[in-house]
Amino acid sequence: MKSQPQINAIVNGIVSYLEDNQSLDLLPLIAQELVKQSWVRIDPNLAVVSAAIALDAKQQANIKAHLSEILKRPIRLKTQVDKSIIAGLKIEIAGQVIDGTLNRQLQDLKQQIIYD
Amino acid sequence: MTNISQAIGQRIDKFTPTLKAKSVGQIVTIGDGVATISGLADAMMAEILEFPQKTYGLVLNLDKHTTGAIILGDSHHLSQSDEVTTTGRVLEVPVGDSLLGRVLGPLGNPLDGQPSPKTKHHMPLEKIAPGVIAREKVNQPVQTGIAAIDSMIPIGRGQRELIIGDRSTGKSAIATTTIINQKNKNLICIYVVIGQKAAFTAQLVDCFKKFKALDHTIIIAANASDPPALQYLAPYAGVAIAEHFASQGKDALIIYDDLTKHAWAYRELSLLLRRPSGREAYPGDIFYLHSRLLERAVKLNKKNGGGSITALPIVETQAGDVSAYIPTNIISITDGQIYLETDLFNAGIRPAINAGLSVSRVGGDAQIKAMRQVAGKLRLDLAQYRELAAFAQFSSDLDPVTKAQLDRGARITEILKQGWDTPMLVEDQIVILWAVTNGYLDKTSVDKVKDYQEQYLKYIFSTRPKLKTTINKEKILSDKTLKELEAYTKKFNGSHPDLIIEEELEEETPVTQEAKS
Repeated sequence: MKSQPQINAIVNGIVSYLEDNQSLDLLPLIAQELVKQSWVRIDPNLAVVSAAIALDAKQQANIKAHLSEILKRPIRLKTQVDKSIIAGLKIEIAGQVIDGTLNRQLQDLKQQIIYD
Repeated sequence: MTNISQAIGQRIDKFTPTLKAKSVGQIVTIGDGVATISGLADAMMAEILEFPQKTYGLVLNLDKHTTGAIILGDSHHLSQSDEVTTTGRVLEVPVGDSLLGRVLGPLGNPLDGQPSPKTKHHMPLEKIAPGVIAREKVNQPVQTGIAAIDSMIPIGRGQRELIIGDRSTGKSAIATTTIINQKNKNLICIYVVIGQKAAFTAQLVDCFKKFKALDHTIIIAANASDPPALQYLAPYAGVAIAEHFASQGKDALIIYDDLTKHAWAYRELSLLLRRPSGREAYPGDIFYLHSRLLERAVKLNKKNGGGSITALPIVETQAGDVSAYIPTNIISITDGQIYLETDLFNAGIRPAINAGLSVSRVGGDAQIKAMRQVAGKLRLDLAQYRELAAFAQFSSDLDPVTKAQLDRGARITEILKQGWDTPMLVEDQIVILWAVTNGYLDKTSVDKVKDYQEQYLKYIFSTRPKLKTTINKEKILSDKTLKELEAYTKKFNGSHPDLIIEEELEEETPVTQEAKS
């Protein structure tokens, strides 16, 4: 994932800050609190779009326009490339997920064959 | 092999991928069948959640940042950060006539090794009980086939009658006899097993099969080894099925065996969901847990189809303590209780019903008139006997009136003894109770009372077969019937000297001089 180095840098920053202040024991509690914050502070207007290949500007604009129309509010877009989804799109916005990827369809099919 | 690939091929052909926005969350903590989930912002109370591998859960807690859910079934394959989605559905159970004769889990899954019953309808597990407008007074009896209950603690269709007592005092036996007795009586029986041994359920099925009672019975079982979530849901599933029959204008009888274990299961879930605990660690809504369940017992009026749901909850007490938390709660909700005592059971009085503490608050209206005619006297006689018997233990000299009352009481007690596997017809009960309360058995020795009962009933109904139909039709003992009964009972007593003891003459034993000195 593209954002992984960014995440690593932030985590390293927090850890070294705690090390400097000799309060590394607070790390688990801080982690818990950060998880909670992640539930609360999700930006309701930010859509994370995952695709198997990089989306060009026209495609992105198209998705943005569609989402803004459906949700009746201006939506910002963040794209990421995830090879494991094979084909299709996965859009996550405000706790809702629209999963139209081939990977998901294969997973559903597998579950249906095994458990139904 | 080709069959399997063909089957898979067919499944793949049938597969139609759907695309819709779903609310997706993640498991934060999981254990003991309870999960905390983050990120399900639009989950509803009592909504079904979907976990991986087609496992389902039920929302019970909605917190600020998390959702608490119970997992319906096995949860060993689930782990932290697994995806959870909402479904927008509430918990339902399949209902219909095809359920009769089956043993099912609380979610409608078959437990008897046969394929799933084919049903067209579903009913929600949780439903608000019918209101005042839809109801009417209890007016039809449930014939349990147990003389002591049908005469003194009558149960009406639509009533809630608690069966309470210590362990092994015959609580389940009363319920079993009642079900056995419902053959061809237009009463569909639902037996809900909560937290009992699986062997108990197996035994129950065998017993119903043996007495051909399974055809009108549905067993819903959540055994002791099932997760508490299923034990908690079992009675609601049972009553949902009963509601389906009641809505069709049919009569249903539902037995909850037992609600003590149901309360335990709910306590377990509540503690795991970190709800604040109150008395005996039960959560604050433990009363509502049972009141909302038992309020669904109903007698619908004609406008609403006239169906009914009669509930017989069972509660187990510890060392006869009826003032414990759960027993008092359920006593206050129900329309009366049948109290069973260990001492009576051990003394050989079975069913071990304590007639003094047992009451039926509404069933009297449903009792047939003929039974009311004989039972009024019975209750009084028995109450006097119990009181006198306690005093008589201390004194040796008794006046003839007291002795007569004691003798009468002993015979009535003997008549009311009954095996769990021999339910009695209401006509039989009426005739024998009439005979004993009118003194026709006073001269029969106590150990011969049962012989008398057997021979007398055989005699009276074979010589006067019309008597049975008359009582059944008229539902009252008319003067004519009474005269007939009197005449034939006298005749029976006259022709059966072996069942009548000679009146003992008080012999004064001469006290000899030698003995005095």
